[in-house]
Amino acid sequence: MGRPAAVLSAAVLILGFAFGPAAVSARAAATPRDALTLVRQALAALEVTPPDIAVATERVIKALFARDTRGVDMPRVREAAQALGEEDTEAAAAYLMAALRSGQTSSGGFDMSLWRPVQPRVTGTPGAYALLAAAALLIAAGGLVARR
Amino acid sequence: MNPSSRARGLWAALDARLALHNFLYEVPAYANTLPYVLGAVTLAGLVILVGSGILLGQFYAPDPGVANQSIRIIIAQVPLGEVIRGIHVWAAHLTIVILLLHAVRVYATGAYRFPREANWAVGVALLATMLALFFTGTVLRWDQQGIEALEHNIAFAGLLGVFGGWFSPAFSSHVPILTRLYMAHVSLLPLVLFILLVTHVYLVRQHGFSPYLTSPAAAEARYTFAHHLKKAAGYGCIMLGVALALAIILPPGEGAAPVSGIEVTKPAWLFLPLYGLENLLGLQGLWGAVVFFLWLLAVPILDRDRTPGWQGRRRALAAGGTVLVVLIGLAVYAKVWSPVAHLH
Repeated sequence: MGRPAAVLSAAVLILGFAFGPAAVSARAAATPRDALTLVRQALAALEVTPPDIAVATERVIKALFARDTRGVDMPRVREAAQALGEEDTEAAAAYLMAALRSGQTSSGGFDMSLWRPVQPRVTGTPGAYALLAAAALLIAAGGLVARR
Repeated sequence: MNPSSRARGLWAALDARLALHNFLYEVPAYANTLPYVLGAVTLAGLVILVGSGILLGQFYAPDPGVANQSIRIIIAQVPLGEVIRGIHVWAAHLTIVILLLHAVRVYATGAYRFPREANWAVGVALLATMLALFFTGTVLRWDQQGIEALEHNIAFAGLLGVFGGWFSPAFSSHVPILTRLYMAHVSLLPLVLFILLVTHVYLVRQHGFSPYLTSPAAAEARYTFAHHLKKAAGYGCIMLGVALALAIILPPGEGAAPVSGIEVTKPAWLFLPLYGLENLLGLQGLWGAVVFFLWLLAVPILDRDRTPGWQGRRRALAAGGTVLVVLIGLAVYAKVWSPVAHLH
């Protein structure tokens, strides 16, 4: 690479990266102020394994002081806050769901079931056993082919 | 005409048109041992992933409003949908494990040395593409882990400035970034992967299998490449069986519909070292991935030791071992630590 090309490449790299950090800090500054988003965030923090009580509590407290409480049943949020104080995450999640459900029924539909995770379920059905047998056959057949 | 002469006739007819004899070139005996067959087993894993991915693609809706719901429909309503999704998810994990083992074997035996430096670079690019496929697959789940992965992706794109433009939602304001990542997952990245794979296999064909480190006599050709592929097909069959069994015993669930603005999850195991680095250094820690891949690309340049046998591998193994220990250490640290907010 010649010297002018190297200088040009360096200039392009420096200018290119210079646009980065500003965009990131602008994104990080945005925090929700409406109770609906804050309650959804608190619920999400409780749905992960293990539940993140600190984040959930912080968001619930912010929700309690939010000016925009549309779509949220606030008394239920207060009950959720109490449950979080007792570290009862299951009850808190149930109260938050109820707070959203009551709010949503008054303001129109959203499939609330999407706000709960689908738990992996192991079924002991004959179909499941047949598939397990098929898996065992595949492993055995593969082993035979690989050993030959 | 007896069956065997009929088969020979069919082979001759196909060979005349498809030049299949090119796959019958001789390979040494050690090429059919497990450590040397891992690359081909990765290929078998990719076949499983493409097959199950095509099936899932018929029912997945890459739109932020319905993506999570479409996965629930795949799990609950599509016949065998949960099993196919389970196979796809577990085969992805298994393929990455085998690919990493293949990379470790190539590194440990110094198979990147002259004249295979270019093929090592192609292999590194293949590893990066596979990780990108795994990453985009995580985002497509469109649960909390998925959206947090996407937000990290966007934030890192911000660090890259104009070079990260494609990864920004602003790149195409009327098409959701989830939809564009889906396009990358099912067409762009597989295309890149295919081109790299063809190049990788072509270069293996040109240079032959890398020499056996300790016993040059073992290089005596005893089998053909067709044997090697058959062996890989056997291991691929085992992989499919294991993925199927795991899909039944440990089916992957689906998280709640995501909400942006919080960080309460951790990434999949293979991104844990990067997550650990991010815990220590903040968002800038994501540069660790760039440094790691630059180091991998530079390995053939850094390692100039040509002493035969394990004697000549001591320094490279020490360096590789150090990197491995650091990666595992970061992963363990990230695993035991509570999730940390890096963006909000």
